[in-house]
Amino acid sequence: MAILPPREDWPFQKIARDEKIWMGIAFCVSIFLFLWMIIWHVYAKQNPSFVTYKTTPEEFYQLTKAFIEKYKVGEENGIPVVKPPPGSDVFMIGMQFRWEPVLILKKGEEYRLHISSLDVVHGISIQPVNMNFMVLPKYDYVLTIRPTSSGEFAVICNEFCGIGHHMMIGKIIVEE
Amino acid sequence: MSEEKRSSPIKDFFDDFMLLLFLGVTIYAASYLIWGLMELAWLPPIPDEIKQSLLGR
Repeated sequence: MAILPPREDWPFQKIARDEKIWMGIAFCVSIFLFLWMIIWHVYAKQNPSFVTYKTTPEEFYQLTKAFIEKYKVGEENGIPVVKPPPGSDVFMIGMQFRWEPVLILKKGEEYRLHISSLDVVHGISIQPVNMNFMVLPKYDYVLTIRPTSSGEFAVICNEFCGIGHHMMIGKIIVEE
Repeated sequence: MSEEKRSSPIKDFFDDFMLLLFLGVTIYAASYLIWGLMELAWLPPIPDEIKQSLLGR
């Protein structure tokens, strides 16, 4: 396929110096890019660290219900509002076509946010900070979060999940 | 005296670009597939401490 065919015994020839140098440069670049992924993850703080657990929609719903009962402080349009203590495990479930519950979190405190779906694949999109994660049934996706700004954040579904997809709007409130 | 071309298995392998293309796609596809299946198979369940803290049992 080359313009000039290589010598028949090319696999047994000694590698030339300039070729060795180029191979060395290519090797160093690939190692640097590999290490850069790790450095970027640690220092840029753009990629979230997460853990995933295996679960069932029934189990996750039961846990979310228990979480709501434990920390419920009110209701908003029929959706329970919860205020969990800082540092705790926080549950949010996506279902056709709502997010449950509304979360009240404290600015600067760390939470372990558990997200899963009761039915189909959803996508959790926290706006306007634009954080997006997949929400899959049978998997508990745990994000360690620390809200850095206060206010109301809309939680929308960014994975088409059915006829009421556009109405699937939840809320996270971050207090000072 | 017949002139026989000297050939080696390594040369034949590296000269077969269709084989290289096939292996280049297949090896990575299979590796990622197996890696993904292993990840899914080895996922732990939700820890009991979390369940107990909410369900109280």
